[in-house]
Amino acid sequence: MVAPPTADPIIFYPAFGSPYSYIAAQLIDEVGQKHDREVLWRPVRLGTVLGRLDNSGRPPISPKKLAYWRHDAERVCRLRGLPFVRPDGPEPPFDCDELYNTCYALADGDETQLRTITLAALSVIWAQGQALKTVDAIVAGLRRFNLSSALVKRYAASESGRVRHEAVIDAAVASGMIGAPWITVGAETFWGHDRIPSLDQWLAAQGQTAHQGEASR
Amino acid sequence: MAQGIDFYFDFASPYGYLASVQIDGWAQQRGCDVTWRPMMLGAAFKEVGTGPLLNYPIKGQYAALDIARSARALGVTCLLPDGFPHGTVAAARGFYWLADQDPQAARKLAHAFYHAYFGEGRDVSSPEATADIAASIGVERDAFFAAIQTPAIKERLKEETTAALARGVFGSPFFFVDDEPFWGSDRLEQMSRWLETGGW
Repeated sequence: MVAPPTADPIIFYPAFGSPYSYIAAQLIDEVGQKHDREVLWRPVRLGTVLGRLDNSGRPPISPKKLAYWRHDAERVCRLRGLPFVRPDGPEPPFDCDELYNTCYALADGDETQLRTITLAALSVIWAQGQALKTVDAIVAGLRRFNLSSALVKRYAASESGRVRHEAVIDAAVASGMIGAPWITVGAETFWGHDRIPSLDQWLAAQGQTAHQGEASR
Repeated sequence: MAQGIDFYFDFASPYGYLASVQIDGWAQQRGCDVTWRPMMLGAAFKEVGTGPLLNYPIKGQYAALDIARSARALGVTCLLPDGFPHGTVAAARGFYWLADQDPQAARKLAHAFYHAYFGEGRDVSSPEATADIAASIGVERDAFFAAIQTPAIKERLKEETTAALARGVFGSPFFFVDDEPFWGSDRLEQMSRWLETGGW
């Protein structure tokens, strides 16, 4: 399918602490390829985004709902044949600001590298069950990227890491992000891995409109 | 093959409506029967500390968009009546009163109510308007109107709601395939897989 020349990219906002983001990360590129749309990966810390939306403090999620979400995420992974291991031991959140800043600093504007490291971090947390909430855990979990504690600390404090992540938080909030994974295409927004079929359908309709436009010219 | 499929919903739930327009065809294709179980979602919200999705400022905007988009994908209209959401206990009570006599008529009432409320965007939540809907599907209006005011039927809806919450329901629509829970109108495909495979 040929996208219109000015086609908006798919902006994919996963959060490392979100198992549904891990699931969506395995599905999003296929949709982009199918509709010839670039997918821009923009990991974003969900707690920070939600904190921006509501300063009055959110009520904690009820244990009943949380138990269902856990059950559901594991069930979706089993259905799709995805490994799933919930981090055992530390309390959520399973991520930290340093992780996001490190991703952006390490990628340094390279979209392919950003996708690779994001996918790797999601897999470490949700396929291997290792929380990445401390500098040491990041160094160990993302070993293949040749990190050291000193480097992660430097990345975490660096302009290229922190400022980029903050810009992504601003963009996510401005686009109306309310949960993760969050996906935008222009002004159209999609929340949840379970809206990827809707995204697919919506892009297909966009493609048809573009074709009709070409045909009528 | 699994046999008990329960469909929990609130009559003021847009996603419940979106499930209702799909469920009969879905069940027919799979040769299974679905038990409809209206409940008071407000009680579930109270239990888990949430509220109607559309009442949240930013989440509500997204939900409105998602509901409209999901309805378009299904080829149905979903309009929110002025003053949405309304208490829809009259419809839920009437449903159980009818279901005890004629489950098919109860289901017909549910479709007619949902159609008027979301399909046409009319506030039909009052006992009078709900009785009019019942009359439109051939139910004796006065008997219906009297029945939905009785203490027994009020108690019945409370009991059904309490039982739903005890089973794990916290949103609408909410399904059980045997004892497996599925939340949301977007989970029908997974429910099909669960039926076909016996679970995974």
